[in-house]
Amino acid sequence: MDVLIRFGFTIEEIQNMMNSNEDILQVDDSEIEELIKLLKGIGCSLNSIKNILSCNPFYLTRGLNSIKKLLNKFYELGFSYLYILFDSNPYILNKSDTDLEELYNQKISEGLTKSEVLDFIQYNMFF
Amino acid sequence: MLDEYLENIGYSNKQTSFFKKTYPISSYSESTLLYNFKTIYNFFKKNNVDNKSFIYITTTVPTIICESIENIKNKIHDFYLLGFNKLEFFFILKNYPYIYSLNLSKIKQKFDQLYNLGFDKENVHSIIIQYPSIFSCSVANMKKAFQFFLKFGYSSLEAIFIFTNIPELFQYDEDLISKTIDDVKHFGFTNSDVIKITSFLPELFLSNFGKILEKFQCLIEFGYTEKSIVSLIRKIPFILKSEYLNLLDSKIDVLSSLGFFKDDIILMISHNPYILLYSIETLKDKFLSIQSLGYSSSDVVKMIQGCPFLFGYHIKSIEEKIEFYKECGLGSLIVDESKFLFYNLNFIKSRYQFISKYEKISMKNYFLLFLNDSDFYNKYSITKEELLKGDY
Repeated sequence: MDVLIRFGFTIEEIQNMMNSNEDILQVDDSEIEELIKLLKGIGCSLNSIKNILSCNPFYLTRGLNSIKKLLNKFYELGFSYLYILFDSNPYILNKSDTDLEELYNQKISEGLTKSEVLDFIQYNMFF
Repeated sequence: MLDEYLENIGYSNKQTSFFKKTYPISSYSESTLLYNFKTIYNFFKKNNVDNKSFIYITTTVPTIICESIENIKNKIHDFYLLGFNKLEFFFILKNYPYIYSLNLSKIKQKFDQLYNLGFDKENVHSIIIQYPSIFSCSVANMKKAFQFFLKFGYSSLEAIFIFTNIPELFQYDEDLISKTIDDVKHFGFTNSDVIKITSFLPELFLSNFGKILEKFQCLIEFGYTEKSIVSLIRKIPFILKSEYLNLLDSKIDVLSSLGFFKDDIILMISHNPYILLYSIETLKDKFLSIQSLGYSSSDVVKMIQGCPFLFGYHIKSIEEKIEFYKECGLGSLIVDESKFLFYNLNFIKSRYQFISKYEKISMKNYFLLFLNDSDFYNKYSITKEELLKGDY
């Protein structure tokens, strides 16, 4: 958990995350660091990262490769400025790349255009 | 002397007689045996092997008593070359003493069998530590168990994850695994749901799914349908873990005590099922923290109903957004239009700055801030990229 303290999380914030997801204790500090760096790399500010992890402590137990695949899928489908999306809807980081693709394809098959699908995913809390 | 020594360690008379009759131990003189037992016992004790484990190891693999300390150290070194430290060696030995009888090439063979199935060095290390009995599993059975999962539809990576976490599945009866899958599907889950759920929680294969679902009875009594529970589990398979299941009714009680009505709770959770995964303290603290920003408890109930993600957002993020909307003159709308608080603040600030060049944001046109990208472009002919770069 030292890495979270180095990133500026308070003990209380870390405790809250662990209260919701005790599996965080099993994750190596090096992996936590990489997961946070991934969010920084796409433009998330520290406050935004705190917001994301407060909301979705399960991000830290997703596994680095799964998250990378998900990010690649977002880019492949045409999303940009992911820091905005993840700050609004941190839970979307729990989707797998196949979940995202299925949702995208489902909406296209319902008759939505590509930009309508992107809007649906970015501006909709409830799906 | 030997009998007394063994009795002091904790061997039964039966076990002592067993040693004396087992070849080649039976060919040793009592004084030699006593010397061997003392030397090996002291060495094992220095390496944190307690009496119970020592008895288990020596009665399972009695010939270990005939070994020199040098030979045992060589075996520890062999394991070190395979990536296991001394602590791990003794842990494995305590759980599967037969490992001592296996030579290095036999152990490497097991590694290779797992590598051939796609497991990497880290997976193999984890499997052997968790389940040293894997050495008694034939390669044919291991392949069969692995293939079963692939045939069902698991990807290789998903199967590897499951077996790394629950290596005993290599020796599970296929019918038992099929039964668990059928039990899950019986409740309305598809094959792909089963794969998703068990990939999150491989330990489900060791559990009785029916008994797990009984824990949702409190939600059914509260007003949930079975279909909505299936939907809940689909969205957040984590909820099947006992640490969440055991507190379901307490969390519903807390939400009720905070002022949410039954139908509101059901709707709120269907929109944000993660509410059921937050601790009770987190739910209470978040509610009170939002209240401390200047809202009554009924206001906060309304705000969270409108934006169920508020239970998750960092309070600083919520506070900054509320401050901004107050500065814009939209503070009075926050309780009724709490979905404002969903949007990323920097993004809304960029839009506010842009729109302000053309018109003042007021109670009549505030919705312009929250248009989706397509509608914003149609109105102002500016892309998100241009907006965020200030390229206008």
